[in-house]
Amino acid sequence: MAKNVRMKAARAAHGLSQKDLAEAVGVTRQTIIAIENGDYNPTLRLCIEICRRLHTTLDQLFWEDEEG
Amino acid sequence: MKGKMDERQTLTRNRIGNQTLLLMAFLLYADLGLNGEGYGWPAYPLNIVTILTIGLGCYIVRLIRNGAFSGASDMSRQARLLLAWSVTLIIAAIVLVSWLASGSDEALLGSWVQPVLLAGLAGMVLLALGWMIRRRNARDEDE
Repeated sequence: MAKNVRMKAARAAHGLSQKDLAEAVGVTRQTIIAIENGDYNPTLRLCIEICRRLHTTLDQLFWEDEEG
Repeated sequence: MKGKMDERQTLTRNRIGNQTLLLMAFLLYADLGLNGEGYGWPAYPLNIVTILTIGLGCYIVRLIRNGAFSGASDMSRQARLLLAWSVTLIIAAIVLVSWLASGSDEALLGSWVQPVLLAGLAGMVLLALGWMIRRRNARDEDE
């Protein structure tokens, strides 16, 4: 699984640290690290929580097109 | 999140638990199958204890390595409480030892002090474990 650079960029754009985002969506910081590094495939529920917190949509953050 | 594991931790814990169960079943059946075949191996119950220790050791070490031992948010509060209890128990044990030693009542000394001291030491071990987990959780900071 490829690294999720878009999520990292969206988080940084909102001035949130990994810890802040983790606390906001109710997971550990390691889970956020794993998602950003592409080591963990989050559930739809968690994806929606992250999108809501970062004011983005699912496709903006998690959709992988042909080019990756 | 108050000490509750998140979805990644739950998945990881379940996967590690399943693998550990299979490992222990394999070791127990291997122990049973090789029984009396001339292999140098401890007799019952030491063989079972050894297999259980290997299984539990692997389980705990892998849980800590994968950050799936416990939720991280209220760890510091738990650690503070545990530290307070452990220190209290150890101080109580020391006071008991010095008090009872003066009376030279060895039976009473053994019956009271050992459980208190062991509980304090167990608390210290748990604290060390918590410290390892927090240290593990704080790694890979790529902010």
